Amino acid sequence: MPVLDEGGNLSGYRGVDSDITEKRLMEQQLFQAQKMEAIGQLAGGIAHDFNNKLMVIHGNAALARMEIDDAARVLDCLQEITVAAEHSRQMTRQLLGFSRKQEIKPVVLDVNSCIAQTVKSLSPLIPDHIRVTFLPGADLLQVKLDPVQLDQIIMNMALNARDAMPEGGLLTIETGTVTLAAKQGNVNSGDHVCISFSDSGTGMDQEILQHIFEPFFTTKQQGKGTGLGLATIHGIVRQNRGSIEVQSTPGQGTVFTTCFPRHAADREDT
Amino acid sequence: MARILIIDDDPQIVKLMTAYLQREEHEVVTAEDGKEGIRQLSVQQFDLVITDIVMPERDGLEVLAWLKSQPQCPKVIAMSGSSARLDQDFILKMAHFSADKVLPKPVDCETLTAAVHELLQDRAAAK
Repeated sequence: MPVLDEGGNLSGYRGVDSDITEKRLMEQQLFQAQKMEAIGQLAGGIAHDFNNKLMVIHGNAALARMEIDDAARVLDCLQEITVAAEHSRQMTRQLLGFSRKQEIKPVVLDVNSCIAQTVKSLSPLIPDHIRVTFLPGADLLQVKLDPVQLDQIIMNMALNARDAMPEGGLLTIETGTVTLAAKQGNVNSGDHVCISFSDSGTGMDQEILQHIFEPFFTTKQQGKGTGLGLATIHGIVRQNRGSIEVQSTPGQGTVFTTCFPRHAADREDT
Repeated sequence: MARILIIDDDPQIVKLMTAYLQREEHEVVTAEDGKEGIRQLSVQQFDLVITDIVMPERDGLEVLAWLKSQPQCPKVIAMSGSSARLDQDFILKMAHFSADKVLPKPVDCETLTAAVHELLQDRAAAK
């Protein structure tokens, strides 16, 4: 409260001090306890998933040895091993991406090239009854991104779409340039490069949509996801001053759209 | 030859164990979660059930509890990928719910088929 002298001039302030040191300490302790609990849950979930995949890898290697004279059977075993190993790689990646403070190394990227490369590496993970189509936008602007982060986005989106289409379907990845109006948060206005992921899968209702970017939230069966994929993507997008939007209708499919500000050679990071 | 139900939500695990057991000439039926497993158990007879613990819909503990409530139940192997849970308390809980064997994942072919063979012999001897 300001204190005024006889002339009506500000001469000082009067107030009440409260020592909130203990309150801050308790808040920090609570936060730490919650973080440790979350880490514990994460570790348990990851261990469970890794044990499952180790069983698949070890077991199929043993089966292949037992049925070595049956080439088709051996090939099937090898395919199972590949899928399990790739799943394990994804889990490790997500774990690392979630745990570190993200020392990212952005470089100017040709987004279409990067996506085309990553789409090729998707084939062991996407069953034959799902058709993947990449539609690269023409004259795409450049962006400055860490290529590992872009790879994470594509892989996570593709695997989520796969899991939403257990009976098969279509996954379409498309790029384009749009001009966005200014919004709250980290999003700059102006030209952006957008990547959309559309699937013809099960879709999600409003109740699920409210939670999809929360860490550990998942609608998948155990062993099929850690609940960190979309949370990781959300973190990457925000870190790069981008935006992510989702549109989904139960029974009709889902579209995720991520947008990143264009990189202009005459405009350094601000 | 025996009739065996496998309950696990990881399709790769189901495929692997099916291959193991079919090599031993057993007849295998599969379920992707506890709810489907209980449905299968209520309409068919099985000599042995192999169930995962952590599953959606209804988990392995619910399957075991359902089996315990039945007048006759098959032999049961409980498996879990959450090794940290296989402490003494957990094993006792499994035993209480009538799991005949508890195996931590990853389970290899020899261990699984030996466990199946042992329990099927016990079942035959008890008849």
